[in-house]
Amino acid sequence: MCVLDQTGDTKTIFDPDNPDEVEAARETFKKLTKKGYLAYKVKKDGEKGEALDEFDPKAGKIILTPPLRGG
Amino acid sequence: MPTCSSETTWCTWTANCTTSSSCTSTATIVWDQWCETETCTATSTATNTVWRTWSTTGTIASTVYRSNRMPAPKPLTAEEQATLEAERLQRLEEYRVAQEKADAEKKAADDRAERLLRSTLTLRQRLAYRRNRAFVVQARDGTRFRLKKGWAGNVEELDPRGRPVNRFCIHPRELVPEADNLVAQKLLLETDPAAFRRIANRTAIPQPATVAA
Repeated sequence: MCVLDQTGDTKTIFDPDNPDEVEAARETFKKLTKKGYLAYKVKKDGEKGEALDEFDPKAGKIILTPPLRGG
Repeated sequence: MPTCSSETTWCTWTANCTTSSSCTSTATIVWDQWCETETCTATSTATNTVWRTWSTTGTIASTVYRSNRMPAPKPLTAEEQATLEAERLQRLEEYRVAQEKADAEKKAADDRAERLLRSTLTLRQRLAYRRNRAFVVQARDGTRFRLKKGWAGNVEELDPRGRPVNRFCIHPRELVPEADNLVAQKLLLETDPAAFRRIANRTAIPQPATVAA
């Protein structure tokens, strides 16, 4: 799971078969989406992303972006 | 003998007469005393006075200036100068080290963001980005957008012929590397172009006039 930030991105690596790691990742996901972060499931080779409303440990690569605003 | 009180423009003005005048003032006045031909004794200790005493033939006894402004700085000793210079050089060095560290962190962040962006692009988009620092994204509603590397005003909506018709300005509320900005814009266009249009500021791009045949 990648969260875009000032450092580029902060990765949270978890084992989908490890309940503790999954739970920690889920908490991070919930905390950030509650703050307005947008979550996406992305596949390899640039296939179009899909919006994620709920944490999915089997999603593969998850990217969370900060909320956007008009410039 | 006139006695001046505070805030007096002329303390004493005498002409062609025998007089002795003295003026003692301790206030802000323009002229302490103005005598033409007489013997004047002017002793003034005022704070902000333009002319203390003006006489043509008189004998000025004494004029004491005392200013309430900042006193002249004391000259530094050689040792004090050396200490100040050493402190200045140390501050410069600390600034240089901090700046180097910040530059290195920024470069690391930019490289990281570039790697993430490339991992979200198709081969065609990756090649276009490498060549032009821009790539085209097809939004969920079928509209095509060109995303150029940048922070603001870097998204163009393309018409069916590939000409830019609108420019959009939209970016994360937090400061992230420019490549991350492209990732966020691309993902939003691919999943919710209506939200993209709602959030972004749009500027129409003037189209060249067509000449009637």
